[in-house]
Amino acid sequence: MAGIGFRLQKLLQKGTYFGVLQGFFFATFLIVGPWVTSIITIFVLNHFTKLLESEFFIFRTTLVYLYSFSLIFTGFYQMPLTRYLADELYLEKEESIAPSFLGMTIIIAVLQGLFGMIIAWNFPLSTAYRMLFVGGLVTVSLIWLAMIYLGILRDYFAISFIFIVGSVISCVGAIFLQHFIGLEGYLFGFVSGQALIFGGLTYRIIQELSIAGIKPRFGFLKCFSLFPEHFVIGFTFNLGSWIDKMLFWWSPLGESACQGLYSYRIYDTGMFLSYLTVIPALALFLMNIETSFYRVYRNFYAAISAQQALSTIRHCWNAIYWNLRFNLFEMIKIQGTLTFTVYYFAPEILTKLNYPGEILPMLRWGVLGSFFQTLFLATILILLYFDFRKDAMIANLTFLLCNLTGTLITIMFRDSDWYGIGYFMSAIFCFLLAARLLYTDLKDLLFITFMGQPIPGEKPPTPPIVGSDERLGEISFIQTHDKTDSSKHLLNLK
Amino acid sequence: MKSPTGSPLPPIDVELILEGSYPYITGGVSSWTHSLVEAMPDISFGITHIAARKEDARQIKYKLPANIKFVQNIYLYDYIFLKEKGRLSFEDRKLIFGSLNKFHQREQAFALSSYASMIRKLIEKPFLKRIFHSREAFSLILSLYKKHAPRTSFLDFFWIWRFMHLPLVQLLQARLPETAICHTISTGFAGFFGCLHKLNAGTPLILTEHGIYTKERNIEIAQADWVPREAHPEHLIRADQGAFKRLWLDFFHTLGLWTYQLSDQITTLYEGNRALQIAFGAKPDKCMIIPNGIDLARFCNLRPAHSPDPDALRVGFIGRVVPIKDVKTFLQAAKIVSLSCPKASFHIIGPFEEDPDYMEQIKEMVEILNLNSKMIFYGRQNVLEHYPKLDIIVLTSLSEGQPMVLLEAMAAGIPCVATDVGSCRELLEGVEGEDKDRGACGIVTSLRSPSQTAAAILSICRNPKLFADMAANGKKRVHTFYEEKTIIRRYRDLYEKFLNPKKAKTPGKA
Repeated sequence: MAGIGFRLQKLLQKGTYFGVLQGFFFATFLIVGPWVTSIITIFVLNHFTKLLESEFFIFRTTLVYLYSFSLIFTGFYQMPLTRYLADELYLEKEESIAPSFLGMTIIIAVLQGLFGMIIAWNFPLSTAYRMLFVGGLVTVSLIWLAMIYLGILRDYFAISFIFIVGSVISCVGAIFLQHFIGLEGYLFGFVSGQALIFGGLTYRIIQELSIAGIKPRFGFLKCFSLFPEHFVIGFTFNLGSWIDKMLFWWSPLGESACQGLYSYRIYDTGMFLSYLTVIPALALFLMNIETSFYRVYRNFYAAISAQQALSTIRHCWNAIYWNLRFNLFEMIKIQGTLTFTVYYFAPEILTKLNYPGEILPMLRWGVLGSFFQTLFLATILILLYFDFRKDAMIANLTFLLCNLTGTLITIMFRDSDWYGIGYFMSAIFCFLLAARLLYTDLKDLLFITFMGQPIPGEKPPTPPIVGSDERLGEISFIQTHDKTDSSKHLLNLK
Repeated sequence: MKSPTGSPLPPIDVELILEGSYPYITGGVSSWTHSLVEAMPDISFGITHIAARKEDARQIKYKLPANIKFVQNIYLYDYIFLKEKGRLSFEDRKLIFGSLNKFHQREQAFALSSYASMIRKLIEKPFLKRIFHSREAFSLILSLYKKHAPRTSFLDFFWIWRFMHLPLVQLLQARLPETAICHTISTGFAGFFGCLHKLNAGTPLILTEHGIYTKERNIEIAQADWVPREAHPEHLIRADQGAFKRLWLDFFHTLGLWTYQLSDQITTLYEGNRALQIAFGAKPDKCMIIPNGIDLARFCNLRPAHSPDPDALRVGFIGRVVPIKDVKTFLQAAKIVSLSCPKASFHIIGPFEEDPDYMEQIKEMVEILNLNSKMIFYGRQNVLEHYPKLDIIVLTSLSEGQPMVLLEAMAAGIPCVATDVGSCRELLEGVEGEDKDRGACGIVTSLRSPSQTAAAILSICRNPKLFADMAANGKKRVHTFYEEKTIIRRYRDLYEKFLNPKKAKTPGKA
């Protein structure tokens, strides 16, 4: 355990796979969180800009590009990597974490660097700006990577602190530098702030894992083949969240900030504003998962491994159902109230914020859509909690496809009153679909938990699937071993 | 020969199905099997050996006769699963699980035909992994749990269910050799494999039991500590302690019932076992007794036919020094004999390494009884060398089948004193009827009764007339009923009964 930071030690001492697994889900939230921070950053920078309107448009589009491309790219590896880290920690192979971090940093820097160069190649902008674009894309992508590692360590305080400080510096830097070097200065200020965030996060990681003298390794890449569903889930969720905006950018409706940088400002603004409204629901879900849901979830598996009677197990199983039901309705109640308030007062809000009134339909559809997308996300995470990977994947794929076709259709009709309805319809439909899948799976939870246990000698499908404090994953192995050994006695050797 | 797939096995006349026995493990059943096969060189045999694990069947301990065409190994607890291609239709599932349900409700009428189609389906489509993970299997488990052990640990119940069925899966996946007759040497798993033959292709099934499998399992499970005890007494009812054991008992009982019901002919060594077989579900008209035989030529001229010197009695105990042989009673009897016959000597011939603790106790007892000079431990020896030097053979066992030592002693013309276990009474006093009228060749005593044993020894040895009669009776009885050639002839008749109709059917091809 030498060379491990305090956080990780505490985590390992707890010795629970569950604890590690939780980090997995927090990573998701930690990406949603900073993303919201970034939206705020854009709004703030919009407010304080002294640039020409066309120049700021370029800057703003650049920022949206940086976030969207880096997030979609992150979607590819986020889940497989988190699962890999969780498994390594569970197997107490914490020494393999630091090399994977270094390896991943190199991969991302190279891939995103190349990708950024391809995109920025044709920008009719200064070389400095294009280089800043590439640098910004790499930096933001690396931030998401660092978030995954810190998410595993569950160091939320450090993350929030570093993020807030970094974002403030980003804003202040940009606002300050624009006076001296204009557009490039604006982006330079922003990227420096982001680089600072990455630096800070990396520093925290190094504190936990002594990185000194460790060489990057790429053995972790096998995790991609282990759970192909994870790969698809992460990718489709992020791409699905962006596809409607991208379609608008690149449709005939899109506005060109300059060659290669497209945007559709009223739609983007409407959507970004909507995302801000779901923060309470996300926070609520986060809290419920940590506390009440975790308890019933754990009780269920504990009851099984504590050799309880079926009636007791069923009782715990019911508790999971009621808990989820309660949490869902609470989210719907609280977030629903907020969402409908925003929906109702949308015109007033737009006036107050000094936004053009034509955003209104997009804000309204967006607010409703993001409400259901949040419920959808929560359902997906619960599905993943129980390791129903296939269903999570199906729901995410459906979301991507729905959002794609729905948005294409709305664009075809060219009626701005309905822009955003594609997103809203996809969100509500996919939430219902995911909820239905979760309900069916939960109904089958006993069947899946027991009959899914590998038969001794059969290759176990994965490393321990559902880890609780009482280690269900191990049960199959321990019990199996005991009884097959003893069953030898059955065969009286004459 | 190891995996279920691979090169086809040659067709044979008789497939012997054995569990933890010949040719890997030495013992009574194994030597019986060996001499049976050796005595019928014109009949081709195949052996299906069922072992718990691969390591239990490593080294073949016998020189296999040429008429053994193959040895197929099945390992019950080294689970192998075949590749599962194709699909299992709804009808298939319905058929399989319908029959499985019936299988688990033993009290229902024994519907042989539905099992036959289930078994044929399972052999045709060995989708056992799929079945094991299926929804139907789970609802079956739930209903069994509800019925048999509703307040016990579900986790344990679940695994017991699996471990009960997994060995059967291994048997279902094994190759069924092409054979004219199946001869299983026990019920249980071996019997189940024979049943598969019977249900699959109607192959005639013969069952020979030396010990009664179902009874042995009952005793074993009753004493077992590997059956998980239901945990958490605060949540559970104490009276349910035995639910899991009952499950296992039921399981073996059912397996036994299958074999008893499906066998065309059932044989065992003596009347007591036959009665047990009937009690466990065998039809009386199928049951017959074929005792063990011995090679008379090796024994008949060993001992000169004269009465012993009553002052220098030589008393023999032939057997392993283990608790089930109750050597302690023999020691106490020896003490009583030596009190009235100070020059008597006692010879214990048989290995004593098996249970060192027990041997230690025996040694202490010899010390306490002051029998040091009279009690001789030989260890494992060639008994042929000892029979000429013994006047009387004593058996104090608590449990026996048909002890070879009595047959040998009888053949050698040595009177015996034996406890009333297994077939001892039949051997010494004769079977009801003509045999019995011929007279006894020894004295039967109660269990754990040193005084009776001692009295019997003394009464035989002090009466030269009785001694001579018993020696002669023994020789005669063995000659009439237990001569190896006669016994082998009976098995051959049995085989031919099932072989011939088949040969007659296809004369052109043969």
